[in-house]
Amino acid sequence: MNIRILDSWLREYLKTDAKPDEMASLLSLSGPSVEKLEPFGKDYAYDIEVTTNRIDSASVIGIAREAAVILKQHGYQAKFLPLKKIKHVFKAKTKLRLTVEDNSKLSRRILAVVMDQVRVDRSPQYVRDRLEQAGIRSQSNLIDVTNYVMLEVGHPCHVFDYDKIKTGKLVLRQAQDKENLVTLDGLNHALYKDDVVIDDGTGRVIDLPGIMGGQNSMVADDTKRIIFFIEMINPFIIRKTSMKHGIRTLAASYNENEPDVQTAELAFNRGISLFVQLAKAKIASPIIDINRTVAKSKLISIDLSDFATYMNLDISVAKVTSILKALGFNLKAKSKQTLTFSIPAYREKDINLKQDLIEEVARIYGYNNLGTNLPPFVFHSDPYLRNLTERFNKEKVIKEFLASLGFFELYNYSMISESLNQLFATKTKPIRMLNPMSQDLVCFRQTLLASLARAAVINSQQPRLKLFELAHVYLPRPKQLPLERPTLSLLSSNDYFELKGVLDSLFQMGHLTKLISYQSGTKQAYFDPKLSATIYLDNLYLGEIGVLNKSIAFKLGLKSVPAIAELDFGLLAKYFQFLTSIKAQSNQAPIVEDLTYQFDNKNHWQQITTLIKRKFKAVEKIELLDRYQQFYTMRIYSYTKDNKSILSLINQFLTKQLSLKIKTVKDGKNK
Amino acid sequence: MANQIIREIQQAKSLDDLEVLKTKFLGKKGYFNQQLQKLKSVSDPIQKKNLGLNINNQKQEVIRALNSQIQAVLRQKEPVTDPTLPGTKISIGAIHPITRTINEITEIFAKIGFYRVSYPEIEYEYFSFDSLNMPPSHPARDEFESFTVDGEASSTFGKMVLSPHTSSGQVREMWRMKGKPVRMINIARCFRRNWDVTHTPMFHQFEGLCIDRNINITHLKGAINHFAKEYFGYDVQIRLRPYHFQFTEPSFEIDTTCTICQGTQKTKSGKCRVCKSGWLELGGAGMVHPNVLKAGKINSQKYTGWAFGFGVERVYMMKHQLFDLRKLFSGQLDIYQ
Repeated sequence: MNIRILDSWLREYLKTDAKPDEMASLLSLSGPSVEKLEPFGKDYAYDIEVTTNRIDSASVIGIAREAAVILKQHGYQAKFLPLKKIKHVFKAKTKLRLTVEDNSKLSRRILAVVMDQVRVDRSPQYVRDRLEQAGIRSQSNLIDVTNYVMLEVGHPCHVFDYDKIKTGKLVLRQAQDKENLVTLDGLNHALYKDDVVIDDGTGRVIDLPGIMGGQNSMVADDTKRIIFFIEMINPFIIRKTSMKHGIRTLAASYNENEPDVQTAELAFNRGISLFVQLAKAKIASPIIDINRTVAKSKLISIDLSDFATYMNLDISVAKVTSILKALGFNLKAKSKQTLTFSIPAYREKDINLKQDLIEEVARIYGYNNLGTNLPPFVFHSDPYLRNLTERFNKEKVIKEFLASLGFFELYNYSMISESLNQLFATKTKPIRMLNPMSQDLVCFRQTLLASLARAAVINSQQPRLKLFELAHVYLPRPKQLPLERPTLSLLSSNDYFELKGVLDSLFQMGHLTKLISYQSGTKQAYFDPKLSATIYLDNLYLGEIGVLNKSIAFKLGLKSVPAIAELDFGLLAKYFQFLTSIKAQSNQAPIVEDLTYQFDNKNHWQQITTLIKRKFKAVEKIELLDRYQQFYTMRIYSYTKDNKSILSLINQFLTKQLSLKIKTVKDGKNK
Repeated sequence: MANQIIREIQQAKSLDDLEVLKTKFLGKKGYFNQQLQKLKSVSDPIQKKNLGLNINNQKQEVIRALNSQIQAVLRQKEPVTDPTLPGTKISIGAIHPITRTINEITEIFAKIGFYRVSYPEIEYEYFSFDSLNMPPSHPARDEFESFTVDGEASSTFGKMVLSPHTSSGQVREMWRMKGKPVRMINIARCFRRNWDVTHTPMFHQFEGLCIDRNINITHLKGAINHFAKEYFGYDVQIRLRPYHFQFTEPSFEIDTTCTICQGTQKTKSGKCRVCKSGWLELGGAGMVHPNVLKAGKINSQKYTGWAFGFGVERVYMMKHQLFDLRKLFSGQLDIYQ
């Protein structure tokens, strides 16, 4: 949480020769961060971030206490001027009735008093300035006192109109179903069973303690008598109630971080003094103090060597004790290396381990004053990391390769909308968000193609769009976390064969060509069944390529149908090789011959060429030379013993075995 | 004859024509070789010698003529195009800024012996919270604004959540290393319920984790200082400010001097608008909390460690200005223009 306090206010509790900007930068380095320092007339305002564990320093007094230690460490004169402990007593002749009940022990401490003859007025200018600079609207002096005390001492407090309560009774209890409270701000809240409320003994709810008061008991311009009240409810209940009702007051922020009971008492006494001073109020009842906490001194022991371990520094006992003493930690026992310190009440919740004491010493000593060393180098053999590193390296190279071919890399959200998920549905049910932020981010992707297709719509004015993404798809598995499979997906608004060419060149680059095979058709409905293929690597499923299903393209509003492909990147990376063995080349020139056949809608290139290679060992490779309508021309490279052509044998084989119609055969050299 | 050949060569207009003439006169089966063949039939050695010399002289003349004509043709053909015209357009794509930044981070830490790992994005709450000293009732968990998913809960590790930070990998890595020294960089997608100009519900973090005997605060400073200088530049300074995190003790926030005004708070156009008093927040760090080491089955009496978690987008935005973070994941190509 942030607090904003004026320099003049701070200096009521801190005597120092440090200037505001010096104080701001030193506080940031060793204590709470001063995020802004801004002039206010002749004064300055500090905007300070206080971490949730240090609610003790979320006040003028708390900052003054910290600043005194820090400034002194940096050579400034600095002295903390604590608030004088005053014990207010009831001395008047007539006593106004006040009873407080907390039978369920909901509050660890309660402090209450009635004050009479209050004069409602505007607060003096300095009070109004201090509050308004802190972001709190100045109201009447009565309300201002409660806010002033909270900021100055660090504990929220509340003021009721005694006469509006009528019964002189405050009962802390849990709310019941169907109870309501209209809070100070005029909003009506239906209460929950675990909310803690105060009623006036008649069952009428008058307050949400620690969070916000009720309208029916609030002070006004005609208020004559008040109850000044502090309670300390369980911080979890405060947080829960404040969140559920959406009442995020500064008081709630303090209370949910559990300020200590001694600070509460300090705030209470300071509040009474201020009511006397600013509203001429008189104590009109005995002071009620219900304290369920037991004062006990918390002790923590630490070895001097622990400081050395964490700070890489030989620090003397004297230095450690002087820093800790300044912060309120007293040395209680000392034996050889072990030091035992008592923890001040306002730090009891925060300080639990020796590491906490190390932090106190190290920050005051100054992190800047500690050395800067690289961690010692270590290495151990780790096959898991070797594989992972190799995958990351291949990822890098493949991305560069695709980018140089004109593809733009996208990072899309891992989640897509229900409707997009429906268009790109797979057989398995996707993982869904239980608390989505937007209807666009609900289903975890089982294919990245959904996002790429969406991006194609977004960028549809772009000619020749080429996109890729490498990310996880999320595949549910029983009784374990989903499989997060690294996946590479591509989309191109150019034709299918160009995209297939991109994949082929990627496979060539990784020396995979001989292991890759295609089979016409895919299992996924988002591919056009007429022009799509499943890709295998070493007979393992690698992925799919095809044209986007036309009806999906239409539903998305895509004018042209893009080509898409998706690969299991883990498998690809596993086989992908940057280098391969360099074989001795045959001195003999290959026989190069061309054969043109007519595609019969049955025998695919993949099968035909596989069969040829299986049957004729002399065949080294087969390339697609040309295609015209359904006539495909293959160029066959072969090495035969006597340099004799085997084209007629191949021709015969294809005609007889596959009943292919062969159009022409010829010596490829003549082309 | 030679004169006639030379004239023919001098009339040639192109290199192709000259190539044909070269074959015709000087080739294997060309005019001069034929003439030399004929010499075989001459029996008088003196006549043979003279004839031979004569043929050779003529051949040299022809070669000279051919070469000078080649030069003449080349001179004629010299380009008259403007060499400053734009080149033929070749369309290239681009690598996403996040990939580039992740690669840079990985390499910077590899130099000092840190290896990159990858841990689940959909994670059990045990690893995202409980093991990091945040038991189920702890209010610090609320601050993470985390997402939950409909995956099957584990009886040991609790519900499935979207990992709100890369710290979820800390205890997993401690388990994997089984007591061996850890030098981890974990880079992953993270998810939180924030969506504005500087926040997206999905973002990336990189997490450093170093565990060994005698690891101390100076090693954390050293590693982060190394990163800051390698990534931002050698004029950048870092500072540690006390902070509070559940999973580290002591805890810090790390700042670097502002990369825009170099910490001076002044730019050419006036007061620096990017930084707070000359410093920019890099992210959180600290010494690993003993309870986290315990969850990682590491003896906190023997071993200490540090950890930090910084945003990939954050460091990218600190180094290169980016007016709207949401652009990075919008699917729009305008980030590449």
